Amino acid sequence: MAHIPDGVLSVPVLAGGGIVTAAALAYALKKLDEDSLPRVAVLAALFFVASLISVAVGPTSVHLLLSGLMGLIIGWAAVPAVFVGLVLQAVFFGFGGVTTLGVNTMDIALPGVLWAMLFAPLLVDATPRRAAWVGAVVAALSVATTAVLVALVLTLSDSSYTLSARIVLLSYGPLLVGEAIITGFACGFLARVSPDMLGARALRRGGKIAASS
Amino acid sequence: MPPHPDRIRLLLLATAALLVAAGPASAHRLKVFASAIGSSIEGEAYFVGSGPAAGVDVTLREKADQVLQSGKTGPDGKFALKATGTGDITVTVDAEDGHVARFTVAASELDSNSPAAVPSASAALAGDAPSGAASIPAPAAAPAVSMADLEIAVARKVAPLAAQIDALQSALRIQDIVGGIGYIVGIFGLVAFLKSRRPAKDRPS
Repeated sequence: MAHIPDGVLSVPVLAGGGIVTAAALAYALKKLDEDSLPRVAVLAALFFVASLISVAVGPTSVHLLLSGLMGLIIGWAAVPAVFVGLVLQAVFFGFGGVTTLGVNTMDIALPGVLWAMLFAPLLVDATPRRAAWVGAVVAALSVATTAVLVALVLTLSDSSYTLSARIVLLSYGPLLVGEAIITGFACGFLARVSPDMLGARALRRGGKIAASS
Repeated sequence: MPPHPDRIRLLLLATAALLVAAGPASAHRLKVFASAIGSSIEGEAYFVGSGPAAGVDVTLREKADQVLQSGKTGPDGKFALKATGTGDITVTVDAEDGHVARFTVAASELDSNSPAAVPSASAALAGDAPSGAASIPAPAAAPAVSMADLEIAVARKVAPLAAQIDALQSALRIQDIVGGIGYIVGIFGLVAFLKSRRPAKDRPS
C-alpha cells in the first residue's frame, strides 16, 4: 500500500524518492499563492483523516488517498498537502515511516497532480455531469498509477521481493472504484456549487476565489 | 530568489530534523505482536484500525538471514511457530503488498534456552514433597505441576495483556486525530503568515 514502512526499501530508492519529493515540494511551494492556502490546508486535513480510516479488504486493508481530488482542486499544492499529512501520520500513528516520507509522498501526490493537469482543460466551463466523469477518471487513473509506483519502488529495492499481484489487485481494485465514485460526486458537486474551485489552471485565469462569491 | 519559499523550506527542514531527532517510530500500519510461550512463539498480526491480517506470511529469523521457521497467519491473524534458536528472534510478517512489520522476542523469554534449569527446579519441588506429605497430605498435589508448566501457563495468561498494551500504543485515538488537524491548520496558518509578509513589503498599500 501507499504507506511503505521503514526498512523495506533500499537506500538508492529512498534517496531517489526523497529527491523527487524535495524538487516537487520546492516547485509547489514556489507556486503556492496565499489565496489558495486555506483550501490546501482543508484538503491536507481531509487527506490526513481520510487515509487514517482503513477498511479491511481480503488479506490487507485499504484507505482513501483522495489524490485525484487534491490534484484537481489544488494542483501542485497537493504535494505539500500530502507531505504534511504523511509527516503527521508517521509521527502520531507510525503509519508509513520517516525515511520513506519522500517515496510515499511521490507515490501518492504526483499521480494525482499529473493526471489532474492532463485533464484540467476538460473541466473549463464543464457541466456538473462532465466534471463528475472527469473527476472519476482522474481519481481512478491516480490510484492505478500509485499502485504501479508502489510496485515499482518495491521491486526496484529488492528484485526478489515477492509482491503478490493478486493481493495488490485485490486491494487497489475496490479502492480505485471507491475513489472514482467519491471524487466523481465531489467534482460534480463542486462544478455546480463553486466551479472556480476545479482546475488549478482555471483558477489562475479566473483570479481570486473571493471575487467569485 | 524570493526569500519566503526559502523560509518555508527551512521550516520544513527544521520539522524533518525534529522528526529525525525524535527517533524513528517503531509502529507500522501492519503490526505484529508475539510472545514466547514455552518453546514456541505465538502472536498475532493485525492492521491498525481495521482488524486481523489473515493469511499473511510469518517468518521467524535469528540474526539477519537465518530463517528458523515460516508459516502463515490464520483467519484471525494469529500464528504459533516452534522456535529453535538460541538468540533473539525476529518475527516478520509480510502482506506481500508493501506492508511489512517486525517484532523481536528476546532470547531470555524463550524456554528452550534453559532446558536444564527447568527440570531441576521441578525435581527440587518434587523432592521436597515427600517429607511434608506425611504430616499434611493436601499440599502434596501442588508439586505435581512442574515449574515449566507453570511458566507456560503464566505466559499464556500474560500474553494477551502484553498484546493489548502494544495495540493501545498504536491505536488511533480521536485526540491524536484532532490534534493532527490542529497541526495542519497551524502549519498552513504559519505559511500564510510568512507569505503575507512579503507582498506588504513589496507594495505597501
